[in-house]
Amino acid sequence: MPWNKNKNDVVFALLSGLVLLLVSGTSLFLIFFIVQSSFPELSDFINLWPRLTGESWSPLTNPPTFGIMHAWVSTLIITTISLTLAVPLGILVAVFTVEYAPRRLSLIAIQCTEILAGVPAVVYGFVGFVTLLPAIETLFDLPAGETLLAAGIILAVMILPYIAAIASSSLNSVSIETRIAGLANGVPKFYVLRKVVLKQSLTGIFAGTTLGLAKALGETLAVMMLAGNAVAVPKSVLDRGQPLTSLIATELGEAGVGSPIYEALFSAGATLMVLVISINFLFWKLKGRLSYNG
Amino acid sequence: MVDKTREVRANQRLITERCFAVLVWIAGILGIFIPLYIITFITINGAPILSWAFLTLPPAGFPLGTGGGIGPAILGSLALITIGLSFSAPLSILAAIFSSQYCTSHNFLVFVRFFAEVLASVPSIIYGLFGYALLVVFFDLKISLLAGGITIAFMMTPVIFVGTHESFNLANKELQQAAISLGVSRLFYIRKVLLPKTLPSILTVIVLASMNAMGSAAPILLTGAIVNSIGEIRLDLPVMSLPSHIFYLVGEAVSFDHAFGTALVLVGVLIFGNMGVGWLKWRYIKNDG
Amino acid sequence: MDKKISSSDKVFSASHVAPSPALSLNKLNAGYKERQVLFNINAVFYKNKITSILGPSGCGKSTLISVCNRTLELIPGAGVISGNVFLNGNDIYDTAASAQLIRKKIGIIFQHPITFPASIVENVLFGAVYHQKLTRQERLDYARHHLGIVGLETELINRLHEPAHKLSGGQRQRLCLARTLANQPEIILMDEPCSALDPSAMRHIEELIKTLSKTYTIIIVTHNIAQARRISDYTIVMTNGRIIEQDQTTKIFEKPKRKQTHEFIEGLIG
Ligand SMILES: Nc1ncnc2c1ncn2[C@@H]1O[C@H](COP(=O)(O)OP(=O)(O)OP(=O)(O)O)[C@@H](O)[C@H]1O
Ligand SMILES: [Mg+2]
Repeated sequence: MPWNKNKNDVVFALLSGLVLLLVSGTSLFLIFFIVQSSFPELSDFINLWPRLTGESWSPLTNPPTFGIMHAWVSTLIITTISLTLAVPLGILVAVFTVEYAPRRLSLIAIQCTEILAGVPAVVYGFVGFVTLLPAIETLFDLPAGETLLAAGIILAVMILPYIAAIASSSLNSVSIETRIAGLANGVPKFYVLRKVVLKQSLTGIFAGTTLGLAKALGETLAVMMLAGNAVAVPKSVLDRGQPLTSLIATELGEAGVGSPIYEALFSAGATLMVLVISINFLFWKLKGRLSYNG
Repeated sequence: MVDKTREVRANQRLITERCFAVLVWIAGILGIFIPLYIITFITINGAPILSWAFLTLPPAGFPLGTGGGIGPAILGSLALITIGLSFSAPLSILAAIFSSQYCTSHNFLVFVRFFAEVLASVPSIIYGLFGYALLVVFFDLKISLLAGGITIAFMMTPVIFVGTHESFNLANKELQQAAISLGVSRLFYIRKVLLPKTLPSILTVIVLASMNAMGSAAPILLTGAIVNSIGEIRLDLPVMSLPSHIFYLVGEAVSFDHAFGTALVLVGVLIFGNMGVGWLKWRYIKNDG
Repeated sequence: MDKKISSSDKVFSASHVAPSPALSLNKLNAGYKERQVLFNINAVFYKNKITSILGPSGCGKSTLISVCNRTLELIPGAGVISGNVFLNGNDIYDTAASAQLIRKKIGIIFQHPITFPASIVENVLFGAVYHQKLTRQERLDYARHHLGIVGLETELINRLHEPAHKLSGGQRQRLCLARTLANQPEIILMDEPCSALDPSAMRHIEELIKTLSKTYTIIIVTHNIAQARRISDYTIVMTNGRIIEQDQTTKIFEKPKRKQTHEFIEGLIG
């Protein structure tokens, strides 16, 4: 395809190409930097495993220990709680907006969940702090409401809109012809929904779940305000905890550059980043499959 | 006998179906109720404290934040976003132009897109970690507006890149062939056709990225925020920001009233931004049709 | 358990039973959103007979048969405007009638075969497991029996549990027929069931349709005039949403009353 050639054009192409290289170079550097900082020397790599599995985080004792097991166990528990709540609810909300609600109500519901996606994390943390914590305190008769459960519940509300949005777009992608072909067998709408529509949307629902998972893993402030920031390895959902993200946010300011604690925080960051990137890789694959189906 | 079991089955079916419908409606009502509850809750508790003074004065009182207002936090948030945008918007739009207009390698494009989408989903705390280590410590920018703004720019870049790249590609499909057949140069096409045509979606993406950045406190806490400031905006000084101010007020149990007021302002700005984006999209569709 | 279909079934010899109406349409007007497609349709379909519907493309044949089992109304904005459809004397558009039950009794095979995201066997059993109680053991046999009827069993014997979307267009068409048969309907509506079939598969389906007509009432939309002549007992000719002639097939083809009918079957219009 012959474009009209022009000298400025070449200059501009070079310029924008350089910018692309610069931007992607910096971003690659970001990933490399985080991973590298968690073990500055290659020999430190061996320390990574004991650090990840170390049960005790106590930088001030002699000798100090920097195990971050409590952090990823907290992350795991909070994420599990939030997915357990948000995935079924998100699917049901999607079914509501696409299949059950009258048009008006469905539009309202969509708008409302979009609002949910726009509320910033710190506000969720705050609202959870003043409403959820007292409720959990009285409900479970605890001295303080800060628990992994509280963090998990608020996190569920935060990821709900993402799961609902992707689930409803995949429900919408099941064609009216397919639905009619199902109904033409003399079965009720619910049967078609269960056996055809939901089944066909499974990839999409799963993709929504992975996206929600990635969001949940990376959330910082809301969980930090609600989980209680305790460095013991949590044993139940009513324990306090400190997920990876909170660990970083809490300790980074105090950590001397290059100190063991600094490296330990970067290990936490690197773990988190690698996890989120792998989840996104999965999401990317699923999304590809989704567009083939749709 | 046969008829009886049939009836029982039919009944069971009806019950399952009804139960499911009830569940769906409960979920739907929750989906409407939770957001409305959060918004009303913040509005009712935050509205009483809102005043011109609250919006403009610096925090005061003891402990700090029990009196005064959030003027510096508003200014700080705006300054952070301005700096973030002035780095990220031109760079990511140029990069998107290159990938949509000049780049011919399909594999490279797929890689860049995937990479950008991954970066867009990397948790903000990771950007905070990076910004802290690189900007605050290594380049010795200290905790400052500049360090915070650049960290924000890092966060915004992949988002703006992906969004603009997408709309450039869409516009290309429609317009590129026509432009080629008119014999114009590529640069002319980019300046006079592509950019004006995609302006609404570029703006949409920029607003979305800004709102996203405005709400995220974690990276700013690590790189650019301070609990109190008289409102002086200087690149080498830290600033207050709306989300980090809420975090401070709640975390140190300073003043819930002020936290409600600040949250109302923040949420108000974000919802307003959302509506703005909705309006832009609507206009875009209308112009197209 | 299921209706056995075999050519040795001599109890009902079709040609000797005086035709009684199974389905009749009375002054029917129907259409899609903002567009009426069927005008004042009066038609009768006889029990255990094959009736074919002929007409130029776009004249409303598919619409007509989807009116017969209340599937038209599933398309948003589409539906019956006025008129009645009687099944064994009862109006299926009566407010008391259950659309779901009617769709079970009157099966339909759409022009474009649609399979569900499940295995071949599960596709055949889609409606059947809803309508009747089948044990795990019975299910496979039941599915294979119906695949056998449409001539797919031997072809697919090793692929029964593969996803159905891997089938070819013609195989899918027959799978949809098997799915409808497995629901044990009384009347079967077919919209160009042979459009994706090779001549030998088409012969097989034509034979099958003839055999099925001993147990079912069959209405078939086709573009293949020779096929209509070969298999159907009655023929309806339509243009522009109106019926121009309906009669016994032999009469339509040998002594059409209307000039338009003659022109259509000679291939002059449409
Ligand atoms: N979903 C729909 N919405 C609106 N109009 C429709 C729809 N389906 C069909 N029509 C219109 O209704 C008329 C009759 O369509 P119908 O499908 O019944 O024709 P047909 O006789 O089956 O044609 P063919 O032989 O090509 O299948 C056509 O003019 C068609 O454009
Ligand atoms: Mg048709």
